[in-house]
Amino acid sequence: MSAETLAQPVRRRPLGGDLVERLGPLGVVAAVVAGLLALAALLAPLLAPYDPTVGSIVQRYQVPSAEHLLGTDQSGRDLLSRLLYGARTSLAGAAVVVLLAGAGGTALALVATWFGGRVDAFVGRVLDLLFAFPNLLLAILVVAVFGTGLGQVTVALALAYVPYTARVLRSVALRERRLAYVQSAELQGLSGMAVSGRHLLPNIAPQILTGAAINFGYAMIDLAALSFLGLGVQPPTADWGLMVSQGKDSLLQGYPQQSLLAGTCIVVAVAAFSVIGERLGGRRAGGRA
Amino acid sequence: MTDVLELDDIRLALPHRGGDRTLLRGVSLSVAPGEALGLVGESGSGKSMTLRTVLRTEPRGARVTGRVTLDGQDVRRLGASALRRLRADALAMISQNPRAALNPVLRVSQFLVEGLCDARGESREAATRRARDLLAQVGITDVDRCMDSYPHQLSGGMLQRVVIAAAVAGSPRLLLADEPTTALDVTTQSEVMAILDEQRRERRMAMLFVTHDLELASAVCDRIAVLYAGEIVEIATPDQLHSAPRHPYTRLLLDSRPSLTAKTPVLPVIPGRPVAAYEVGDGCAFAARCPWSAPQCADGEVTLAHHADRAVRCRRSDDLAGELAHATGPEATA
Amino acid sequence: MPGFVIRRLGALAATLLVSSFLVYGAVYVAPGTPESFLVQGRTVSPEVLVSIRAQYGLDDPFLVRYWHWLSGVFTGDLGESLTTRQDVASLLASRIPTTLWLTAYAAVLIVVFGILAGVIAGLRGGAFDTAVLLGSSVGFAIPTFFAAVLLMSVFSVTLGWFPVFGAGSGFSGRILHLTLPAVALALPAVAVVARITRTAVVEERDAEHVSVALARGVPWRVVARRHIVRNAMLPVTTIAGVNIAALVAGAAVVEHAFTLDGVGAMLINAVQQQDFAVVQAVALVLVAVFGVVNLVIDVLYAVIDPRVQLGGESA
Repeated sequence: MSAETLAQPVRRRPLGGDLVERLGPLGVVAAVVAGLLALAALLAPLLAPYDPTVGSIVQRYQVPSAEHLLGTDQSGRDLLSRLLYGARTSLAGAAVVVLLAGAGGTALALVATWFGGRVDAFVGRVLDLLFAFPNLLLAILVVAVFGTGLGQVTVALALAYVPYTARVLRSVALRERRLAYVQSAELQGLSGMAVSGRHLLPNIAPQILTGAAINFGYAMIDLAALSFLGLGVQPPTADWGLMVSQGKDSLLQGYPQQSLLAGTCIVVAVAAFSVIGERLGGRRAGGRA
Repeated sequence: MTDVLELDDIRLALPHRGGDRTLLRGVSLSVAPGEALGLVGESGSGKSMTLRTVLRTEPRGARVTGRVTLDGQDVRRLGASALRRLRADALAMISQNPRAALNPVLRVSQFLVEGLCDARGESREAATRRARDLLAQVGITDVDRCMDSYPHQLSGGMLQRVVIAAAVAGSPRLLLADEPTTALDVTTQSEVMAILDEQRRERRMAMLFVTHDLELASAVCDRIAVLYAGEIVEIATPDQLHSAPRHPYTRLLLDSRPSLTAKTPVLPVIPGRPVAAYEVGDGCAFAARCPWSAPQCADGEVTLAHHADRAVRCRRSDDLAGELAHATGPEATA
Repeated sequence: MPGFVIRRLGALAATLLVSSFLVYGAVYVAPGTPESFLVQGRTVSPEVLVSIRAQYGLDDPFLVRYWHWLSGVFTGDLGESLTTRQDVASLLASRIPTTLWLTAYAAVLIVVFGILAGVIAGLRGGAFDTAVLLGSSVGFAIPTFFAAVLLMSVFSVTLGWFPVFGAGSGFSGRILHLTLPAVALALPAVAVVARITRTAVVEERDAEHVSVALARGVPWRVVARRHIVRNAMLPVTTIAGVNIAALVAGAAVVEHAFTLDGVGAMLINAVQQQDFAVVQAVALVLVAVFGVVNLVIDVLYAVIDPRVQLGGESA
């Protein structure tokens, strides 16, 4: 065992200085778009000209004007304000899904890797069982049990994403554990907790982040879909998925703005986040982490 | 008798960030009918790239100049369909790794039949019959099993026999072999080499044989061309090379192989690192590593000088003739 | 191969059994009691409540109730809808054709257009390649429900080419009614499959066995078909399969958007109305179909890749 293999190979993919280089021009544009969306969500109360939940029925279906920059919806509510507030539920929801799924997946992966043997096999069985359900079905079933609402669908989706995250991270952690530096740390008598936290975790961190970036786009789509189905965010809260759904009836009557605007916001956000994820991970689009 | 193959001043450059990279700096050689010519050199010396210019399978974007003449045809100027016919009829290639050369999801029979049927236009039945004969000829005993096998079910040695069978199938004029035994187990290397040699002699095919192994080339080839940094530094018969190398690089190449008879305390190594063709400046490419280099070696172009039946690219070859005939000790190269 | 299939079917049966227990158990512990749902907020006398509890066996222990339900499932009795009092099995049966047509149609679109676009882009390169790359990036980001709304807006409302609602009857009627829903459902998957196919073809083009085949004088058309496209289909099969299997659940969104009377829409309605008898049954059926589709894909993969040895781990 040479000194070189014993040294911990931290940060094989540094995430700092060469970030711009790894993102590339398109990635930088995507990052800027994502940043602007996050800013819009954060500053919605300051930016929004109107209360997103209050409207006047006499002002319904207004075309864009100086008063209402993007017009109004079927209840006379200001669309720009609703889009700005909608960014909050859409982005925050997806962020929580990714965070929970990442934490759950990481925990399962580390536990399975560290204990190995029966624990690993058990975790494997549980994941297999979860894999037997299509993502969306699993989320719908959780909603069926715990009821509709943003909180419920967020947890439901996180649960549906855990097996994917756990499976990828488990294989990465397993490969890492077999490396000499982890083995030597183990031989030095470090506890499993310490080795996992100090050595395994920092080294699978890049994969956790990449997975999160890729899953973010999926989470946005799935959350919006659940809201569209009436299972997620409930009216009168503003949400992009819900707006597409509510705009559907208006659209059939010849007022397509609401659906189009909200849908476009989703497409732009998802595209931005999946480009970032793809660039960071160097993976093909459509791969799931 | 006219030569089967003639390479005239072949130069090759690959596009690279910050300017093209030269890999071949003017390679000229000829192969007579039935002759086996060895191309020997370190990795990166350009020996495989030389082969690929003959077959026109150089990497995408490569810029090649010079003439490749095969049986009077200017290979580099052939149109797509003429090139395809030439590849099907007159040329055959045996590459280093048979496992990469065969499509992993097709059976051996499909690989063999394809070369005869789709490439050469033979009927499927005739091609199948011939494929079976060919497998028997390269020493495969269970022909049925081999025909039905997928590549992953066969050993490297077996696969290389299949590749040899496919290569000699059309009795091409010229066989191109790129380290055909390097990727194989040591125990099967000589067996596969013997089969290749036997098939070549039986069908009187000429061969361009690329290897880094001077001894192997000496055993198989009629003449050997030694490459260094994208150009030929010496051409001679194996006997001439062994008894009286004319180029310092050849001498050092001979010495850096462990001898079978004499025990050397320290194996001599060639000082310095191999120079890539694109790094070469003015003067002799080997001068920087050459123990015999003199001030005159550093500038001007050194040409390949022909003396009777051999050629050498060294200004001092006449001065050094006597010295190079004897093996150098470690102290000589230090 | 038959051994593998039997083992996998066994594993699927076990998975279904555990899933059924989980689904039934989850509903059991869910907040809100079935009888409170059944009385729909009406004030009823305690006697009526008792009789309702007895009628639905709500006082039996959990395992007994699960056993009753499970043995019913084995005889084809999926219970009774809490809202409509209809037989769930016949309800399901009436809904299945629409979903089947829709998903089959979408699957055909995914395979045909995804693979075709990817293969042409990978082999030809140039402007078409750029178009496929761009199109797949955008297509991938369009949620099915938004695609549904967009298509409806353009082709039904504005152009009037396709009907807005309904699933149609007869072959041509179905095709006409289900074209927009199937396109919406297939769109993201077409994008993904096209992208993966294109990458696989480009990678395979650079494989040594391809240049060897060309160097042997095998014509380009034969090499493209037999070596490049054939081998590129290996990763594509997996990705296309995963995406087709996911249609099982994804159909719910599109059915909801187009108000189609499919199984997915039935599930969504049941969830909204807390009709757990229907939710349980539909979930079980969907998991079963999902499992079977995945099994078919694995078998197909083994058929096209001789290196895959079926029979190792069943998982």
